[in-house]
Amino acid sequence: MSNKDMSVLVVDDTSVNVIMLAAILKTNGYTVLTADSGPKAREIALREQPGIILLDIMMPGEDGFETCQKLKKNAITADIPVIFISSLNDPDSIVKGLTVGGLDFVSKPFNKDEVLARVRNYLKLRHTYLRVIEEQANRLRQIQDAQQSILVHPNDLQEANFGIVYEPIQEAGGDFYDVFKISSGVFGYFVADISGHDLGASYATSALKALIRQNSSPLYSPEETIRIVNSVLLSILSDGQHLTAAYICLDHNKSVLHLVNAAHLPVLFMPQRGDPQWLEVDGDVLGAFNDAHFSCRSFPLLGGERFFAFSDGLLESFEGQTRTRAQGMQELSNFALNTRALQIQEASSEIAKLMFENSRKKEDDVVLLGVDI
Amino acid sequence: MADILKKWLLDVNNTNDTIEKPKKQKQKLESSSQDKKSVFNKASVMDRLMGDADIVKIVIEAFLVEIPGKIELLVKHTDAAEYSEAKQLAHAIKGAAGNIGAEDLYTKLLKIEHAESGAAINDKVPDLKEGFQKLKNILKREI
Repeated sequence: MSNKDMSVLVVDDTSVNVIMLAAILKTNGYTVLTADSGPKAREIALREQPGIILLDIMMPGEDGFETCQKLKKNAITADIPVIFISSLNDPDSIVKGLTVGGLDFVSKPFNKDEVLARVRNYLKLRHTYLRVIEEQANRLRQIQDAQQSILVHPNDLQEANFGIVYEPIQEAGGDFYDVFKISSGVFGYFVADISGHDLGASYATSALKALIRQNSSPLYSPEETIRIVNSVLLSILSDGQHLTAAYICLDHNKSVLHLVNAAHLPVLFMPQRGDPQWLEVDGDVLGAFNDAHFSCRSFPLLGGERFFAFSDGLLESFEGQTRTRAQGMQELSNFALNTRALQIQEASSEIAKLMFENSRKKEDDVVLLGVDI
Repeated sequence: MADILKKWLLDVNNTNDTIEKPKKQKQKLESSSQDKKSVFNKASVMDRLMGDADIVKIVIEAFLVEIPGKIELLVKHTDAAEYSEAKQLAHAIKGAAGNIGAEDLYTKLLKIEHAESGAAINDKVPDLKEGFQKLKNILKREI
């Protein structure tokens, strides 16, 4: 255990009690922090994150119940175990203490062996809990590393002229994109949103990458490619799992953009001059139906255009839902216009930044893929 | 013979007296020690602080610095008929008193904390002041 794990914050407005508890704990190898009020205790807890808090209840101003409640509401201090040390040992006080998030009670005058045993036990429990969390986070980080290592970066394929913003909210993201060369002068761009953010989603992304690349060939039309991908996904995705996707095939030789949309958001198309347009194509989700319907639309290109494909996390999933999808699309369109003069990677990064202005907290994965034609 | 017997009998009485005396003295001493123990149970605070006399001394010093002011405040609140504040203080001091082994003071404070009327608190305060004075005198000798 680290020093932090072995630290105890003692909170009591009567210094005699603090001195006694501190002496007992220090003698038994603990690092002791002290506070004589609830607000000070919260400040120290936030800064030092002690292993455990021994909290008096009856204090002037903010009482121990209120302090505990506030500690539990703050994500940084919520997991720190709180033991109440008080002469209030009537059932109502005990129930209230446990209701506001306290784990246990020690009555005053306290018995040193009881205090030490409880502190030791709760610290051990917390240590085990933190270890489990850390192990799980490590596993997910490994998956994220593996997942990200299969993502293509603009420098890996410069001919494809794309910029990317990819921000999964959890270690195993549910959004996916890929950019690849189909043949000379022909490139594929794929953006998908897989249901869930768990391990299943991360396995699906690996499968998707292989599938889309294997089946994107000059031999197949973009619509056929998506149909084959759907057939395979039907047999490998778990029950209830599905994905939406936009597949864009950019043929520079024929100056044409082909779009297949599997129930995904429209693609934002920016002509060299004039207003942005939304490219929409009907289609079902992938991996859910045997008889799924997909169609392809082709758009002629003049050169100098730009387009953006993205996931819904960019538009609408924020803490408190501050805008609708339509409002999000309008904002995106405006930002894309305002950043038209920037290089595609810069423009993509700037647009993502602007979309999350005003401290909007992301609640979903975000993919924004920009392409210069 | 009668004289001798009288002398012996007297002696027996005397002997009884001399036997009785130390017993009573011992009882008196025990009772006094018991009283003192209930004012300040040093053994309990020593046990609580793992027999460390230095820490006990520090705690007593802290008690003597901090608690007199709180007792004074409690008395002031009582005089001003601020009984709720007086009860809260009684509760706060009670914890420290219990921890330091001041058993009598703890009991007196407990009674104030649970007193059902202002008048009951008024009645108990003189006893509290006296008890605290006794405790202070004993504690001062400990440091």
